[in-house]
Amino acid sequence: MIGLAALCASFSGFTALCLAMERHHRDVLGGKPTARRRMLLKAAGAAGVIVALALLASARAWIGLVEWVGVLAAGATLVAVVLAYRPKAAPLAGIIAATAVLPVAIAGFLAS
Amino acid sequence: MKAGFRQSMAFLHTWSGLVLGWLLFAIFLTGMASYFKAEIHAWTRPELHVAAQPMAAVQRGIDWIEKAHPGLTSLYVTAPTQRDPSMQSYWQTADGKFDQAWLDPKTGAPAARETQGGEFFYRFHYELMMPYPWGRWLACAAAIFMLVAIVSGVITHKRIFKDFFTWRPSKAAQRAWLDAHNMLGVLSLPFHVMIAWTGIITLLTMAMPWPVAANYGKDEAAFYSDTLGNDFIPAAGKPAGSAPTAPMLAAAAKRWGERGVNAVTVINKGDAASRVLISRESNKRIGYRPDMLRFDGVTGASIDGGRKTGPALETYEVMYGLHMGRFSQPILRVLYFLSGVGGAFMVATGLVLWTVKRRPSPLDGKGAGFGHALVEGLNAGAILGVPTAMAGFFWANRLLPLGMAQRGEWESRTFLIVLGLMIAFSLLRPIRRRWVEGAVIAAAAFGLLPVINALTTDRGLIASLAAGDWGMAGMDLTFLGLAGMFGWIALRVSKAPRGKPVKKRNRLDIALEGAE
Repeated sequence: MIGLAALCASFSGFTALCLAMERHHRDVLGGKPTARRRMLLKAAGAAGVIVALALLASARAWIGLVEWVGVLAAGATLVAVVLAYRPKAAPLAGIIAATAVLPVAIAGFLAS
Repeated sequence: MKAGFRQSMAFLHTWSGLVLGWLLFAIFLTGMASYFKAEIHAWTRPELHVAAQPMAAVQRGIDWIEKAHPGLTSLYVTAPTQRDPSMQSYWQTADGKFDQAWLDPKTGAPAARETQGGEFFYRFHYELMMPYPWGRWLACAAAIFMLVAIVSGVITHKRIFKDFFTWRPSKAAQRAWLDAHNMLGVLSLPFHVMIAWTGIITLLTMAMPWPVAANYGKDEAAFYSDTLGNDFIPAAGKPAGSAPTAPMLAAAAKRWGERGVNAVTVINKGDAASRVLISRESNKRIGYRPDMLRFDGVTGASIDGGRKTGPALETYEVMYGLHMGRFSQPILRVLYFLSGVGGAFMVATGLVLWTVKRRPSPLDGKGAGFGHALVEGLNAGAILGVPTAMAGFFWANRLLPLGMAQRGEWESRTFLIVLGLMIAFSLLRPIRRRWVEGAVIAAAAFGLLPVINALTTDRGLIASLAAGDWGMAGMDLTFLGLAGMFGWIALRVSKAPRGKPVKKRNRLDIALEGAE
């Protein structure tokens, strides 16, 4: 469960980081992102990555670190696939994943 | 200088990838299969069931081995687990010869179906079915080439951050293949670097024997006993009685839990210097070093042991542990597996990209050279042939008669035979047809496996789903998934656009049309 929450965090984080890039922002949302929006997206992206680390490290210490690397790869790959086939759906997918992090994480901690 | 450096890295990347690409592809696939070695052991021995009392099963195994081989000097038996019901065992007879078998936990005797099971893929992964030490040397070389390919690939990939999420499957062939190759490489880069590096580390004393040679000369055994501790003491030459192992197993089970024991080793049986070692099932830490209980083989008394520790050894253990991934919980194991899939696809797309990029244009007025045609043929042969050969192994496992002599050997030979046939087939068929037909063969090879399983055993997919047996069901479902994937590949390749000219054609588009 916590792994799933971390995956959601990783996916939403990478979606944000992806949209912060000018080329992808133009393809998905149309137009160049303003400097302010880029900063916010990058911060959201970093937050997603760090939250994933925090969740896995707290649940499984050093092994959690290995899982974090795997979850990052999986999240980034999912973003690339979404971008290739359904680019317009990317922002919504990212938001849904971001909102899922907290409830899934809580469920995971309660279950363990 | 910078342009020259990138170009030379591109050259290095291309050739280090190409020369051993097919071998790396096979090593990747069998390595991925090895993460599910236990499940493969279970699937290939459908007559065996999970043991309710593993320690009693182990004792039965020890009893059988001792009864069948009186006068043996050492034996080793692993405990059955929830994922793998078989008990792998080795023993050494008085004349020094080793033998092995997988034992049935219910009877302690060898399982009815003689097979290597998951061990086949595991050993292939680092020994390549070649005699010692040549297979390992080749695998070691492949790992080093892979590391070179990774580093040079990263350097050569100028737009590594800009293209991080870029994958345009609908673009022209070469661009789409390159995007896929880059993406698969970059997104799992930490895994690939780790797996290549730790792979070399596990063969460390082979790759770099000089420190041991410099410090110990020819006495390698002294090096191992200094670093790993010396449980394997030489025989004293004095015959003595043997204490029963059942109480020792009970003591271990009491300490670590009934399913906490990994394996039992008896050394110098019947000798005064006899020892019994019981190792623990260890998946709680990354570094691979199982706890051990040691007993005097004559008296049955517990003794303290000698595995030394230190920073170098612990570093080695963590690296080895990362490669093996034994600590991985189900989700992490799936991530390891998927990263391996990504890696295999990375190698495959790289191999295909090499041929797509260099396909001769009809404008040149010359056809493909011998080298190019050879690579094209071997590409399809390897990329479609290795998975089909793996399916062939499972076919042999179900279809070869149970009592057949050297049954296990023949299963392994089936792998090579199928691989050889697929390569020959690929080289003989025209370019596009070989991919479509090969993919159809691969899809059929995997898709029919669950059917054969259901027809020849009582543990088909429906039965295992009904019983909640996710190990067996997972294997059959994976076979179906792979069949679907190869079917999709066959469909995509057969539907790929041909012939109709588009406005802005470049030499590559023309070449692709011409390459029929």
